[in-house]
Amino acid sequence: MENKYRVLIADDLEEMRELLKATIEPLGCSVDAEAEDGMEALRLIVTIQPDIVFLDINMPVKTGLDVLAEMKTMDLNVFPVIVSGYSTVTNVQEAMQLGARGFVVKPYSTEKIQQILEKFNSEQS
Amino acid sequence: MCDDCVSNEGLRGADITILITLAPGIRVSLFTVFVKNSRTNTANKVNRDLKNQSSSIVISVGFSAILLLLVMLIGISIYTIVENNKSISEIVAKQKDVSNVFAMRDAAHQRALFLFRMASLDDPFDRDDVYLLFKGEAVNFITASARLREGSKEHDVQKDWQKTAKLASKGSSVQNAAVDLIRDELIEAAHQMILNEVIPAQDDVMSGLTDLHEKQRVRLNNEIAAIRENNQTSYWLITMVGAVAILLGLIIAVYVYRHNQTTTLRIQQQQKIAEQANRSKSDFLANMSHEIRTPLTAIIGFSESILGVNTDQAEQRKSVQTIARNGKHLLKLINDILDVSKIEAGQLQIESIDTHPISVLAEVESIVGAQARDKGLDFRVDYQFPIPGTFKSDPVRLKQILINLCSNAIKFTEKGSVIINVHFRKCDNNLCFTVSDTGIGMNKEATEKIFFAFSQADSSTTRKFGGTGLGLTISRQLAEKMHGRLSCTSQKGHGSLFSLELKLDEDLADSFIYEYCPGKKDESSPYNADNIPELNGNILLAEDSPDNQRLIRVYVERTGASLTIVENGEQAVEQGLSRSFDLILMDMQMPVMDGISATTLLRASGYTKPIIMLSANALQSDRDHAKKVGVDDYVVKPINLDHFYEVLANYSPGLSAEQHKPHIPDSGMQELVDKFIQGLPEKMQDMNTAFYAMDWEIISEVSHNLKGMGGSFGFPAITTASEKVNIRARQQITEGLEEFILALNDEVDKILQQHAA
Repeated sequence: MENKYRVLIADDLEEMRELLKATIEPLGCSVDAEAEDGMEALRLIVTIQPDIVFLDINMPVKTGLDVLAEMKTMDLNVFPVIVSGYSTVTNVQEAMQLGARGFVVKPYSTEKIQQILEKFNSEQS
Repeated sequence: MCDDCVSNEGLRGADITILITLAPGIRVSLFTVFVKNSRTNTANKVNRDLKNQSSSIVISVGFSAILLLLVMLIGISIYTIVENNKSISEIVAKQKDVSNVFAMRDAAHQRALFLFRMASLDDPFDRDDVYLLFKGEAVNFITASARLREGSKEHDVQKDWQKTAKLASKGSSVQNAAVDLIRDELIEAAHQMILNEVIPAQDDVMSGLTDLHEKQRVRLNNEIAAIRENNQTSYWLITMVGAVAILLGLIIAVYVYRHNQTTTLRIQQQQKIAEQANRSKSDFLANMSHEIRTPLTAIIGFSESILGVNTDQAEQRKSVQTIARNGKHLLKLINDILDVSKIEAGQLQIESIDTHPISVLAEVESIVGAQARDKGLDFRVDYQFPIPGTFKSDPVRLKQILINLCSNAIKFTEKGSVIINVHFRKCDNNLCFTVSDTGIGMNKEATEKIFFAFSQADSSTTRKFGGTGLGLTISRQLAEKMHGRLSCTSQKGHGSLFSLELKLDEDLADSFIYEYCPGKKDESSPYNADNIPELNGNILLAEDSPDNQRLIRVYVERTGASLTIVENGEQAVEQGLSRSFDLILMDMQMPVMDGISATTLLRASGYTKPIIMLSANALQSDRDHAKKVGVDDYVVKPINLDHFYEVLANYSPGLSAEQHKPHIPDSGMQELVDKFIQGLPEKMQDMNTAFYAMDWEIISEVSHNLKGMGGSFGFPAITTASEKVNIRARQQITEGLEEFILALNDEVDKILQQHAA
């Protein structure tokens, strides 16, 4: 993982953002931006066009699923991953239908994030 | 050695004929299908299609020929009519010529008569009257002569006409001179002239005209003769063509009649075969029911005996062994039926990979040798070297055939020996395996019958020895699929000899071996039940049947790995995503969500660890489908323990598997953890306040956040405790809520104390 991936993290809790950042930076990613709510996340996605977006579901203004739905209407080359405490199958299915490329359940291990990055890598090549 | 080639060829030819006459075209039911040989069936169908095609060709060609002949007939008739019409008009024209010649003769004759009359009349007025008539005849002559000249274009006629015209003009001038003499009253001179000149000239003219008339008559006759001849030819032609057409029609009629007759015969034959098949089906069902009931009786009986009475352990062990043996027997039965139906459906795949005859035979020996020795039989494998060390074939199927032959030999032999002989026949590049026994043997009819599905030597055999009669059918079909053949010679009371000959296409020059050298042990089964792999890690099992859950728990826990069980695909997705499993065992058919959908969803969500599909469905298409959605391997139920452990060992990298441990932040993250811990009292304060105010929303939110963060920061206890609170808060259940909030407070306090220390 020599390439630096440009990553956007959207979570309303600062601790969670910090933790995810601390988890993925050693794995070869640069966290370009962080968003506290769905609206901000969407704005940042459009303006900075990151490679990977980690989205929490439970966020103010717009949920992670809302953001996915909005992204689907735009032609973006972004790899969206849901990071959520809700692991019910309905949530997973909805996220996948809305175009999520990965689903990480909180609490997560570094390994899970690693797997997601591997998937991203294999789809890029 | 090659002599038996020839005799076997004969035997083979015979049974193919039987198959062709037997093979029906109609598939009555699944069971009927069994009695047919798909290969000969196809051959027969092709044959029949060809026949139908050729008969329709014969009929259509025949009818076109008849049509052609009819067209010829009509052509000939029209031609004849046209030709005859032409000839008739010719005749009419000739007839006109003849009448013109007649008119000319009449006119010349009359003129002469009028001249004589003038010469004999005394009254000049009478003479003048006759003179007018005389002149009139001249006009008649000229008109007829002109008509003759106009009418006939033929050269001959023209020539004759010119001759006659010359004579006529000569005669006419002499007559005119005589008339002049008469009108001048010189009667005597006129008489003299008439006698001397007019009469000879008249004779000339008359004979010329007679000539012309004769010629015309001859021509007319010729024309009529031509018509007759023409008619004659046409008559023969029409007769011949008509006869040929009628003959052809008759031939076709006979052909169609015969063809219909054979078709009817064939339909009757097919009907007979269908009835036969139906009988075979009934026999099969009866036999099968017996075959299935026998092991089931043992299984149920011994299970109940274990449950019911307090038996000692040795007894129990024996019962369980019996149950296992019968279960395996049932499984073999079902596999045989599946094999037959696969062969019939043309779905059986034969591989072509490196095959080591010695290791195949070693495996066969390890499986059936014990059976033979248990029965007190001498069992051995005789090698006649040199034989090829490796060749391209399907080792699994080869083993299946040999085990089948050996099991049969052992079954039907009470004392003596069962011997496998293997040798290579250079003259036709055949590798031959023979299995000979000293058993009950059978007569000639029986050796021909046994290769058909559900047939045994006779029904008493079934009663005495059991069996479905499928083994040899499968073996023969497999042998044929492997470009080989399976045949049998036997003598009642003296034993049987089955020989399998595999035609090897490749060049084997390098691979011959000249002595026994045990090949590599087949790597496909490095484990047996006593050799359980040592594993460590977490395995998730998604399986709805409690019995199978229990069974797999026993299998997995023997390896040292830990097992989590869920009941359906949905739970498998939830667990698979929220916890770290090193491997998922996924049943294919489950309620709520099946294994395929669950695997698809897991793979889409970024789950990359191995997923092993468990299924009772052994079809290749199912496996392919499973592979497509991201399943790594496939284990067929009922589970073959060796294969199961082999797959587990392949996909769990042993002890290296990461334990299910929450993310433990490294030193660089200590700061974050500290911050999280520092924030904890405030969050707990919020939750406690909300609890007293019964503010569900805040309890739910805070517990949700803590649930997500706890484990992530290295405190799984917080996640577990928060989850309990969160579930109740979301559903607004007060019962037990307080306890869980207190428990969460305790956990947080513990962490705070540890942190302070």
